[in-house]
Amino acid sequence: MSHLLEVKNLGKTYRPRKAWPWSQKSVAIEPISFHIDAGETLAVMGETGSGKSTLAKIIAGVDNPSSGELWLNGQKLHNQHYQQRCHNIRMIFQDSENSLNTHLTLRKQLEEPLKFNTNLTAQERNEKIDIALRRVGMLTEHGEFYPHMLSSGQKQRVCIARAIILEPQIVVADEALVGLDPSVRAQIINLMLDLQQDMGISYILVTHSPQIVKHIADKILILYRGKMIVFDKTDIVLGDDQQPYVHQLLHDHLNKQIKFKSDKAKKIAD
Amino acid sequence: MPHINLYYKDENPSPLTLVWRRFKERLLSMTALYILLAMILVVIFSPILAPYSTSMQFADAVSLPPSWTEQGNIQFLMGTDDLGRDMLSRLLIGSIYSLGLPILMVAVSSIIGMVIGAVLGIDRTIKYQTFSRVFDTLLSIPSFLMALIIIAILGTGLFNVALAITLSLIPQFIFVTRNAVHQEWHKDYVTASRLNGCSKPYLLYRVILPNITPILVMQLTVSLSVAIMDIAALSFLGLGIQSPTPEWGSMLARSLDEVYLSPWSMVLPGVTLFVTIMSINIVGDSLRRALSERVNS
Repeated sequence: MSHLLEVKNLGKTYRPRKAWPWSQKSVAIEPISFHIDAGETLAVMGETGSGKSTLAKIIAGVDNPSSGELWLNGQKLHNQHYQQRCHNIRMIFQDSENSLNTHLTLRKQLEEPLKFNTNLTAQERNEKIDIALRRVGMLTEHGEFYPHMLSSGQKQRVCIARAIILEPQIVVADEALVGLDPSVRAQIINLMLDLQQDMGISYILVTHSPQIVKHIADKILILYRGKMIVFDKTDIVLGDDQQPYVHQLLHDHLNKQIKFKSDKAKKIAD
Repeated sequence: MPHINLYYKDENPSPLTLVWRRFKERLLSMTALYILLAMILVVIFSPILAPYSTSMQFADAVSLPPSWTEQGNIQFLMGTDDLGRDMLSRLLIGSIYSLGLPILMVAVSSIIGMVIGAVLGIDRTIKYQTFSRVFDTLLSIPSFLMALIIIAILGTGLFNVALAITLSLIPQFIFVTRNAVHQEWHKDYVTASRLNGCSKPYLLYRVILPNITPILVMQLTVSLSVAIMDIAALSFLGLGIQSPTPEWGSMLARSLDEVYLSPWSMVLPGVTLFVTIMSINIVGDSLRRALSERVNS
């Protein structure tokens, strides 16, 4: 049986803007291969500049890979073929403030994917938008709102609604939870988990936070300077003898908490 | 029965509506806008409003001062010039050449410039980049000088002047539109729409255009005042619209000879020109202010 998404030797190189045409290209991602199955959550981790966002963008179709292929259910995904891709793979951006058009109502923005990728009538589109809005915990009346009237948590919900409105199989979230405060973040995570249960979506989650990874990821992929150094099930990765880099990524917050506590203890002792 | 609004009605003003509300709050900007609208109405209805023909000479009323002075005659509200032609009629009809024509020129050049600018803003291939640089180079020449060069090649005359100024305004529109579109193109919301599978025309008109409308409107007001100045200056130099035609700039040039004898023949076209350009600039400036206030709040 083929996997839901297979990434084969995917690589990305680019040339810096002001470089000569013959100078060497810098490598963002060295050829990597991995796969995800339906309903799984894959967490992509790595330090800043390790190519996580580039990987997310290539999978979502924002950028084109320099080499390698993406296969979805045994079907090859073509670059720049947005219609094919957006039925199956959707993306949630890091910055919900900027990823909504400030001059269109939410209903019009949610209508875009339906308008260009389905043959629904205006009435059916409206019904779908209502369903999507309710699904992410908003009211149908919010459809007439402009983005500046919403809080950041609500904006992120709208972004999720936009991602799931075409009922995709994979949702790529590029640091989608970073800007939110903890309670809203928890709400959004629960929402994403609910949607995963209801619709069987696979998530590709680019994140810094080891807590979130431990909480929801089925598999972990760790990048180090464009190289994939770990790709395995979460419990195996967590249980293994880890390289220092991996350990730092996955357990850093614990050390920080301990350090914080010891600092506090010291202060009290002083 | 009195109409009572029982229910709270939800009102969701769009960002553009909010800018308009800010704009409306200022007395100065609204005054300028109303003056500008009145001017445009005058342009449209000037053939009906003008009491006399512009070329009709009154031999018994040469160099008559405006009617509010001692020697004035109510028949000629703003006096007559040295050939006995009615100033009011000439000013009214002159608005067609001094304001109507620039509006037309700006409309034509903005459409051409915005279309080219939008295409150059999206497409970043070498071919289009070369085009962009060529237009950027044209920008280094002041638009007035460029109009002069074009007139030097084509010769004077109403059509040639209009053509020259229209052409000289295009590079600025290309520059502004290209930069605005390019800036928006890399923002997340455009990427999101691109991933939605939107077609390029839809991206441009429905997604990007509302976001850059204020910048474009501001450029329109700047270009309009530049066009009015250019056409008046060219006519003043005798390169533009030729003398019997009552263009404000050429009226100014004519009045130079008898400025001590009949100062009104210089002051009246000058003041009209001043008020027109002033109101356009205030409208543009208030728009910029309203916009930045909305962004900051």
